[in-house]
Amino acid sequence: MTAEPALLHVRDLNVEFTSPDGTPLRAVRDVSFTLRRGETLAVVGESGSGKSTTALALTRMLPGNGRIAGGEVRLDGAELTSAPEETLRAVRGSRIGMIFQDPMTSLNPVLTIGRQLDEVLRAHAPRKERGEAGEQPHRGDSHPRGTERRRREGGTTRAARRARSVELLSLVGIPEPERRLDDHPHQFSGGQRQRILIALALAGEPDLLVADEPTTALDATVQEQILDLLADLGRTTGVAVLLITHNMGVVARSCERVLVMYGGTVVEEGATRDVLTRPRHPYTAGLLAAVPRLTSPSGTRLTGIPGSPPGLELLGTAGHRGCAFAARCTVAQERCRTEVPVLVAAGAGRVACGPATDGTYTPVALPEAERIERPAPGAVVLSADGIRKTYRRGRRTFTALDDVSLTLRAGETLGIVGESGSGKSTLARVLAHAHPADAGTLRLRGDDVTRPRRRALHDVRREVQMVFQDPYASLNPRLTVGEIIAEPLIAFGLAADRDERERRVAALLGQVGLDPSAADRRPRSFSGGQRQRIGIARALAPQPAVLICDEPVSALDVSVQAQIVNLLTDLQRDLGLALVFIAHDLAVVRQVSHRIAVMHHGRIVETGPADALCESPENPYTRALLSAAPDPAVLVAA
Amino acid sequence: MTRYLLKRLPSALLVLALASFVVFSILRLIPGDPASSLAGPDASAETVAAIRARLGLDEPLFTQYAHWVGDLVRGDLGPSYAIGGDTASLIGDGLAATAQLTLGALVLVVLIGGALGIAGATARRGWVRGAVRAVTTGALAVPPYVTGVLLVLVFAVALGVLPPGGHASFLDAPDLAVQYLLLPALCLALPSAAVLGRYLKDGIEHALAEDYVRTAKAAGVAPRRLLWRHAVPNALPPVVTLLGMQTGHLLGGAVLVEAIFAWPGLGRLAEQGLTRRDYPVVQDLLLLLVAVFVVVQLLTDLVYAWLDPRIRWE
Repeated sequence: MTAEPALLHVRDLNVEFTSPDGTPLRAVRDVSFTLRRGETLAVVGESGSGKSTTALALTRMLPGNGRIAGGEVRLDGAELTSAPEETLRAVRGSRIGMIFQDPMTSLNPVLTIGRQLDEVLRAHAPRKERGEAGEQPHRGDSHPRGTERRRREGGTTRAARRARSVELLSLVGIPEPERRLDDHPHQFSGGQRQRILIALALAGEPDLLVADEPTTALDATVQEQILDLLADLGRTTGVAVLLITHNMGVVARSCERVLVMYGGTVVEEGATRDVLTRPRHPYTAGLLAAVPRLTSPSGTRLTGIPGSPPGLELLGTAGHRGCAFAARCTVAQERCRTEVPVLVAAGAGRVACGPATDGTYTPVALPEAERIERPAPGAVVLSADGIRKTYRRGRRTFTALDDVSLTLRAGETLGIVGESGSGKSTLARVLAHAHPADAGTLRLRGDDVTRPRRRALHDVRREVQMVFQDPYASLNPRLTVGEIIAEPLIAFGLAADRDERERRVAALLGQVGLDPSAADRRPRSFSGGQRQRIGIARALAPQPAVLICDEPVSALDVSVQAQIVNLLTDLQRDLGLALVFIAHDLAVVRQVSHRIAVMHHGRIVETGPADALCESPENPYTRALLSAAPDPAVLVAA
Repeated sequence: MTRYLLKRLPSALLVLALASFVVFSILRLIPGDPASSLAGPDASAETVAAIRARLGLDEPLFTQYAHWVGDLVRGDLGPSYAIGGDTASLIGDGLAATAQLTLGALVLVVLIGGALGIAGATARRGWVRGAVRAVTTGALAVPPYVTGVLLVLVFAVALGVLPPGGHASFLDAPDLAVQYLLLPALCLALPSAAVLGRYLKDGIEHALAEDYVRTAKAAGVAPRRLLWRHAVPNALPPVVTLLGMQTGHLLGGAVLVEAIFAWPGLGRLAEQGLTRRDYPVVQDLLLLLVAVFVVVQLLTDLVYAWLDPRIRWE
């Protein structure tokens, strides 16, 4: 460690939320870390790990039911957890800037970009003019009143602020910044909106940029641009970056140090290269193993961590004993369930794991990917020829699908990759007959079903089922799981009576790895991964020949997605299902698919056997997609 | 904007045409007949028939309808049957008084509803939120004829600060007119203000929890600006739609309130016209109310588009 004092010093930070019934739940527990000027630190973890809560707690931005329950946050030595709100307001934006996950909702839709930038510049102008480093809190009431205030508000003129806004927009790479200042957020793309959010965070010239999943909502190629931008900014402006992410690939390419969080605590910390190549904590090792590698060949099993990350209610405040990861840890010892592990120095980093510290557990190298025995694909079940689909938006027409042709055999998985807007989801809906095609032919076992009659449509709908992306929104919260799975049985008249229906539901639940008792509970009592299992059981209920999975794992944690992907492959092997697997993550798609089709602007630009397509792509767009996918192993080795 | 209005014009005209038909038919379906009510109980059959002929009521219904609509399009509202005088001036006088009442009430709706909504959404203290909830529920639950009487009892009888009823013209004596206007307008405004307050409170609470408010807060924007520049403008569009619908409500409610406070508006005219089967007065009056409502809806849509740039460009 250097002698230079830390910019940010967090010690024993604890955050509690009050649950609706009034019991306190501890979301962040004894988190400590430091960050030097100009440094980039990644905080990595899955949902519920407390990473975002930690970030919000730094500037006391917690939602109404959250509070800091202990510890301290020092920024250049000044304590923030107990500072008056006025001081924090001066810190927000001008000392610590924040960027959030969802660029689509993080800008005010009714204000122009220029106004939103102007507002932030105005809020921080006085302090910057005095040139102090934050000793003097900005006081909103000290502005001169009346016309004087209007003219020189915040010590800057409107023209000067506008010029600065233009500067900021060009800094983050918005073309024609002068003109675009007067546009509203909806006139920008997702990537551009994220750039604007970065400009907003930089407007106050902060010393620290906290980026909470800044690229999660973006396509891989755009994600790459945003990460490059953040890295450039770090170099050119000397701003320190705290990058919060669940994506190991993002960590590998952008951060010097990494902090791994699980269940509200820090489990491991160290230099990125060390942590990614020689993880000490079993959780870190498991998480790394779970990241799908672009190099893993088609037909291999994904590695995951059993179980699912603990929810807040499981952690609670009382009754929390032992290591939070013990329940999912394959090497847990008896003491792991009773003793809370302490974060201690290990090599150049720190780790919180008893067995890892005293040497009774040493992480093993990444296991070799296990091959799946799967029979060769059979006859063609579904085929599409020259499918075209256009949507009208006001006066303009938008071609979502343009001359798309594909075939799908029984027992075969066709992976479809592409970025948002490429037409993947439209294709899924056309194949499942949720939307009719405007032109082209759809065949199911050779029969033309492009424009089916009512009777034939019924059959098509039974044979072609869908698994949806969002396991939270795609299950009706008011129905029990049993009712949800029984719905298609009733709709297609597949169960004679209540008894048979219940038997079928129980069998389906067993098939997707859930206990039959799940039928009586409602979706909210299940984790994301379990809900996706329920979604799969519902899709399997009418015994379809084709299962169309539209981004089935993108809403799930990395450690959980393997469970779902492997379940789908097992089901395919056992039932001879034909799968269409739509995803934006090429690495996952390669592992599960026999063949891959790459979509771009509504067209299939390249198609071929999964391994061949990933190893020697012919289309430039495919190559761009492949190189944009951040792979932790490749980047660390480089 | 002009193009938008032109696009909406056909559907507005269709509404008016349908309304004219419904208004005309309903009046003919009500038992009773203007001629016999004009002639009085002791009139002979011949007198009644003569009156019918004079009023054109002996013609086929379709012809009567065509005459009415034709005259209306030419701007000729004709004489009233029973009340006496010109239909146009009767409605004009009533409209002036009712417009005063409705606009006064509308201002109160915005002020009271706005205050309730903002206080309800932003108050830190539990008792303030509780009080806002109690006032909104109370104002919604108690019908105008009860609030009207209560208001008169308190302000006119007990305190003696405001007149219990009556009306003065704004042009002649503005101060007096306001005094006369306050109680009926308040009585009319309360339920709508409560509804508006509820929606605004929910809208602001919702907007304050939005990501863009978090973005602004994280950038150091002051709480007051978070409320007024970020939350309120985003909460407004649905509230404006609601306000448009409530305007129709206010016009309807004015009939009742006018009766309580002896307000010489359209409500009283409608009541007189109906009891005396004065077809032209009632027909024109009802159609006017429909027209006002159609215009208010158009205005609402325009304001909505002005408030939300995403709609402006589509």
